[in-house]
Parts: sequence; structure tokens; C-alpha cells
Amino acid sequence: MPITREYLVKRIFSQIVVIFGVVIIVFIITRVIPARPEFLWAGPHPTPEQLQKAREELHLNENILVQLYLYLLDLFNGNWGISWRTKTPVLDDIAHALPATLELIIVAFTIAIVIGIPLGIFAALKRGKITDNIIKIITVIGASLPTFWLALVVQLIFGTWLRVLPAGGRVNDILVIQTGFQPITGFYLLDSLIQGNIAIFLDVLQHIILPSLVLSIYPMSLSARMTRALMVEVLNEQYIRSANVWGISQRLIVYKYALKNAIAPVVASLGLSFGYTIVGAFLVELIFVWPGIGLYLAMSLLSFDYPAVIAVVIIIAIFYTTINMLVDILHAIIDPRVKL
Amino acid sequence: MKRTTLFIGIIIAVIVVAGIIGIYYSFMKPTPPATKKISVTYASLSEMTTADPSTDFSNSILWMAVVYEPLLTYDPLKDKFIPTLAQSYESSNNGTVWTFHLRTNAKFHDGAPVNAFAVKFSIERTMALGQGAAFIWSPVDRIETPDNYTVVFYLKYPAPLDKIVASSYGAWIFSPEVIKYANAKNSTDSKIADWFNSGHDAGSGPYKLVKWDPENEVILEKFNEWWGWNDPNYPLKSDKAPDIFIVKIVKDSVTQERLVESGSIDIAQYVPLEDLDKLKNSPNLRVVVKPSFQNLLMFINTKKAPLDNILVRKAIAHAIPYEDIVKIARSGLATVASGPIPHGMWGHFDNFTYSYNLTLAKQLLSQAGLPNGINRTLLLTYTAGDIYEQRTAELIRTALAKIGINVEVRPMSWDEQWSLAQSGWKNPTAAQDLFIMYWWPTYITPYDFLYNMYSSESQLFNLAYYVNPTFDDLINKAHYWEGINPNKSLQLYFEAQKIIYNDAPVIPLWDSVDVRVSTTRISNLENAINPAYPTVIFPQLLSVEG
Repeated sequence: MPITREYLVKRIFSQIVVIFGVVIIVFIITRVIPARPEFLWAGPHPTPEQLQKAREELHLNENILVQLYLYLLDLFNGNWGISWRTKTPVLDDIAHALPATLELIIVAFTIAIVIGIPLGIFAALKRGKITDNIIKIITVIGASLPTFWLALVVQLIFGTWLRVLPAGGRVNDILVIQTGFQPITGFYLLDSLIQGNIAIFLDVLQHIILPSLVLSIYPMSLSARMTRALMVEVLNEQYIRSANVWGISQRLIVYKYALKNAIAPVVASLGLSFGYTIVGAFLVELIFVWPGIGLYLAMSLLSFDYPAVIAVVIIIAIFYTTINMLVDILHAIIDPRVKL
Repeated sequence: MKRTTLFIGIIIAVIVVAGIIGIYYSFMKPTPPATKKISVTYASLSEMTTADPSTDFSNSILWMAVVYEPLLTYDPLKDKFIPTLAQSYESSNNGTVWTFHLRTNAKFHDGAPVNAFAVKFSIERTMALGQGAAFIWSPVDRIETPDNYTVVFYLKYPAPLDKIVASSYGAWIFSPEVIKYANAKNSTDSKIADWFNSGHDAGSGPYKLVKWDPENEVILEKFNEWWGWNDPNYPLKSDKAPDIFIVKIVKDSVTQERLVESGSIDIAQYVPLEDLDKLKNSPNLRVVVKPSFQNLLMFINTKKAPLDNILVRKAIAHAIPYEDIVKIARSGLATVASGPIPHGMWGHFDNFTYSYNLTLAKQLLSQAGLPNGINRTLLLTYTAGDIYEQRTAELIRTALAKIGINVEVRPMSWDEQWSLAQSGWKNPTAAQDLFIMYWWPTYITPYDFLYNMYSSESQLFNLAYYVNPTFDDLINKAHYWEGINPNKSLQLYFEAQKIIYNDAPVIPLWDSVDVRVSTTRISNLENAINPAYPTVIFPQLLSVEG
């Protein structure tokens, strides 16, 4: 595992440069598009005096570079700005929304990995046979179905017709009030277990099933397709045939020798789609009323709430670059041929 | 490999344990708590804005009207005031002195009594901050408190103060103790706003704020010491009111429909209007339709040829199929407008609808010297994303084509649409020809509509660029008399509306109705809605089963 400290420092430094660049670009874009944020700040039906006051408070009369400087100054002091739409500190809003999304995505990706990768291995072992074809059809459909459509369909079936699972929301509020549940980390599944609040745990579990299932379909199909393709390739390698000749058990060959060599690109692509799903999940969040970051970003964009938009973009950039780095490191750990 | 096995083992163990606990608990239902709390969940389409009762001029009214109280509550459909924190009031000296007598049994949620000092404090803070709807208090010169339960307002000029204190924005009364709670220097210290926005309330209403998460949900709990619960003569309450009222933000009407159908929410604020017939027939749902004071209007650029000609504007007014627009664009859920003042409001008159008459329209165009219509394409702008505006705009385009007027319909973001319209005051030929937008009043007076959209002083929203000093004079006089001599005032408002009917700078299209869909466990919903307080549902009036 040739991960040197030098590599890490270089990587983190370039990460900071990327994030800094993103901040500047996004800031300038948000200031040059023709929007009138003072209206958002002053509220509906404003008077000219209120508008003027709002422009001053938001530094909108200043030169764009001065605005950028003022913004960066605040940013370094830990003040990420006040949302123009909700008038609350942006960082508070994000601290609220991010764990909700992460919880959803982690559950979704757990489902995707636990089902997707074995499905891919199985298909590779049975390649050309009927089970392989069935899995192929299912995964192709799964990878190409629009998520929002699937979300509406499962909501209709399980929430409205069968009424077996909640059609939306994250937790039953009445239960929260009655049991005195207090979020600690923002990950409700974890928080309820820490507090030994089984009623809330089960309630959150019920609420998370439908959205996480819908969200898991794409990465599940993706990982199954990729695992199958790579496994097929690896299983045809000479060393596998040699192993077979040596009489090593099929299990050991598949899971140790073949899978380990095939899995690295799957991990990489899953990792990247994890980063992407953070914002890409907003349609699912909208449909299931999941109070996450994707929804927050979409609504902020629609109302030109720049401080919120920039802050979310920074968070996403940090997240994305960090995941990228972790994926690379993981790649190197799994596959020693990769040099960092 | 060993570590991986261990890891997988742990994951499996967690899943198995969770599963066993799940099965165990789904068989052994948790013992119900001793007192079962009844809750109602109301889905709001927009997120909440601020929690500061002095400055909110937007969506937060939806819960503020339940947590805070005004001096009077206005019932616009009966044109009647319901005493709230004030038990009685009188005006004197030609409407420039207003005296309010407070009820003595009202308490804030912190236990402090609602007295004259609190009223003075609240309104003075709102006026001093000067944000949001603070302008409604501009007639007020000073407020005096001769005793603990009497408040006297001295006005600079006559104004209908009873309507102003019943405003849905900027008229909430809160506890002066906020200074202490927020550790603030004075009433305008921004620490107070921070204190409110960190999830506190200082109201006296029937419910108190227990959870403030403006992006997702706001939870209110019954305030048992509210004076109204125990007052047998107070009409605006129900014995079966919910213990907990949850405002849940659900930003999509289709999702709201699904959630109310599945019973996950009790009341939906917006559902797709096309589905209403289906919902009306559902045995699990109730549909309530009430008038609202929001209307849709089309502004004509009166400074750009040939629209500067009254005959051309009237031709356009008579070429619009109002009935069809209501039927198609709103699935019948609106009323054809008659003048800019919505149906049901004081100051509305029934005879200001333009007839749909193509022959007359063509005749008017010929008189204007344009027998073949207009030789350029007119630009009509509306707010992108609003499906009702979009459909209305398309129908107007088709209708005007019949009299030889070609229209380009352009959806724009509200900011762009408004910026372009604003530029029309300086350079009318570069601005749009036709402009569609909604209007709704801050407090319920015809002046709000007539001043903002027609007065030459109101350049922000008079987007027809209409200038008529006679009209301006009439509405200012009408507003002056509103609090002193309502009949005289009404006569003046009528004259003013006659002028704009004849000049046709703006064509009112339709008055909205509010549609709310609830599950059948909710009743009395129709009485819990008051068009003077848009989007609010008063939970103290709801009757909830089980």
C-alpha cells in the first residue's frame, strides 16, 4: 500500500485549490445573473425604501470584487451567511439537512451493495444461462428507470393502496413528542438506538424503506452490471484456470482471487455515484418529503438564495473531492498495482 | 480476508438483531401513553420564513395567526369585526383617535398578562423596525396607555384603524418580556429577532410553538390557559380542537394529494385542480372551497402605441373569453373578476365585468383606425412555472388572434418579468405590452388594490404605467373617509372603479377560490378558513374525530 504522507498532503492541497476555485466561480455566476435578491430579502410588496435598505444590507451596491472579498472574509471567520429565503444561518440549515440525506444514501447504498454485487457475481458464474439473462433484464431496467417515476409508483402502491408503509416524511412527529426523542447526530436511526428508543427506531426504519429502496435501484443495477462484466473478464484469466487446475475450492477462487481483482472499478464507480447522489436525490426527497440537502439546494436555486446555494456547493465540493480521494486510496488498497 | 469476514459478520448480526427487535415490537404493540394526544397535520406548499412577528410579511402568517393574536379579527365575508384581544373599541375626532379596551383575562404563553403596555410595545417595535408590513401603521402618530387595559392611538390623518389592527401581517401582539429573554438592549436590538428565530414564541394565541424547523415542519401545541377555551361566548373555537397542530412543508401538489389520500397528512393546502372531481368522490376525503382575495390581472402598457389608445385597450378587454378561461385554466375553480376588488370584499361591485363580444371588439378596433388588427406582435409576460397563469396566457393569445392581434407569450422568472416591467416607467417602448400577475391585499381594504396597481405614485406595481390624477385623488379621499364614513367612502371607491373600467389600463381576469382537501376525521374546516388571513387554518376551530 504505497500511500505516502507526501501524497496525502499534495492531494489535500489540490483539494483546497479546487474548492477555492469553485467558490469564486459560483460566487461570480450568482452575482452576474439578472436576479433581484433584494426582493427576497425585503419580502413581498416592498416599498422603495425597504428595497434600498435591503440592497445596502446585502452589499448589492458594491463592486462585485468587493462583494467577493466581503464574502470570503466572512467565510474564513466561520460565517457562511444568512439564507435570504429563511433568514437563518445557512450552516444551521445545512447541518440539519445533510445528515438526513446521508442517512438515506447510506441505507440505499448498503442495500445496493448487499444485493448488487452478489447478483453480479451470480450472473457471471451463470453467464449465458437463463438466470444471467433474467438478471441482465432486471438490471438494465433498474438502471434506466427514471427514479422519480419509480418513487411515485412505489408511493402509490405501498403508501396509498396497500397502506403498509408511510407515504412520506422521516419520522412520526406525534411519536417524537410522546417519547421525547431528541436528535443528537442527526442520523435518526443511530440516535434512536443510542437513546434506546426502539419505537422511534422502528418508525424511522419504516419511513426510510421506500425512499432508500427507490434510491438504491440505480447503484444496485450499476454495481451488478459492472461486477458481472469484470468478473467474466477475470474468470477467463489464466491464473484462475491454473487455480482451477490446482483444485482450489470454487468458493475461494471466486471470492478471493477473482472478486478481489474485479471489485476495484466497481468500488470506484459506486463511490463517485455516492457523491453525485447527494444532490441527485432531490426528486426522491421531494416526493417522499425527505428533509434533505438536495431539496434544500433545489429550493434555494429556485428562489435565488445565493448564500445557501454557495454554501451547499462548497459542502458538495468538499464531499465530492474527499470521496474521490478516498476512492483512490481504497482503490490502491484493494489493487496493489495502482500506484499513488 | 479475516477482517472482511468479521465486518460482514457484524453487519449481518446488526441486521438480524434489528429484524428480531422489529418483529418483536410489531407483535407487542407499545403500551399507549396515558393521555392520547390528538394531532392534525396540515401540509404547506411553501417553507416558513421568519419567526419574528414584527417583520414577517410572507408565509409564516400560516402559523403566526394561531400562536399570536391581533386586537381584532376581521370577517371580510360578513364585514364584521370579532373582538380578540380588544373587547371593544371606538373612534372619535373624525377617525383620528381610536380607543381599544382590552380583555382582562388574556395571558401570554409565559404567563404574563396581555396589557396595554404589551400592545404599545409590540406595535412600536414593529413600527421602529420598519420592515415587512410595518407601513400599515404609517397613519399612527403616537400610542398612549391611560390605564392597564386601555390603548389609545392618535393618528396623523384619518384611517380605518380597525382594519389595520386586524391585518394579517405586522399586527401581532407579543410579550415585552422578549427583551429580557433575548438579553437585548432595547426593542429593536437584532438579538430579539435571533431569539424568535431560534424557535421561541411570545404570543398569547390558542397554540404555542414547540418546534421550529422552517424548512420542514413547525409544530404547535395547545395552550390550555388561552382565554378563548373558557369563554362560553367566544364563537371561534371547537371542543374537539386538536392537541397538536403540525405544519408540514410539502412542496409539491401531487405529493400533497398522495399524502392526504394515504392519511399521512390531514389537510392539503394545494392539490392539482384537475383531480378535484376524483377527490370529491373519494369516501375518505372532504373538499372545502372558499373565496379568496387573490386575483389575477393583466396590465396593458398604456404608454406604448397602439395600446395608449383607450379604444384598443377596450377592444382587447371585450375579446377575452373570461368564462372559458375560468373553466379551462382553473377547472372552474375561480370567479370571473368584476373590477380589481375580489368578490366578497367590501368595495367590490358586480357590474364591472367586460362582456365577451367579438363584434364589439372588432368595431372598437375599426374606430381606432385598426380594422385589420395590430401590425406588430404584442409581448405578453407571465411568471414561469405557474400553470394557471400559463393556461390563461395561452387562452388570451388564441382569443386575441381572432381580432387580428398577434401575441407572443413569454414565460419569465418573476424577477426578470418584474425587472422588464419596471423599466417601462423610463422606457415604455422597450417594456412588455401585456403583463400578468396576482395580487392579494395586506390588510383588507380596496385601497390596497387600487393604490398599488393603479396610482401614479405606486411605480413598483402600477405596471400599466397608468397616470390619472382624478383617479388618484378619488382613492385618496375614499381611503380618508373609510374609517369615518364608510358609505361616503364606498361611493368614492365606486366612482374610482368606474374610471378604471372605462380607461381599461388593467383587465382583471379572475378571482381565486381556496381549495383545501382534508381526510374525513376533520370537520368544520370551512369555518377554520378566513380569506382575510390567507393560507391560515385556525386549528382551534377544527373538530377532530379520534
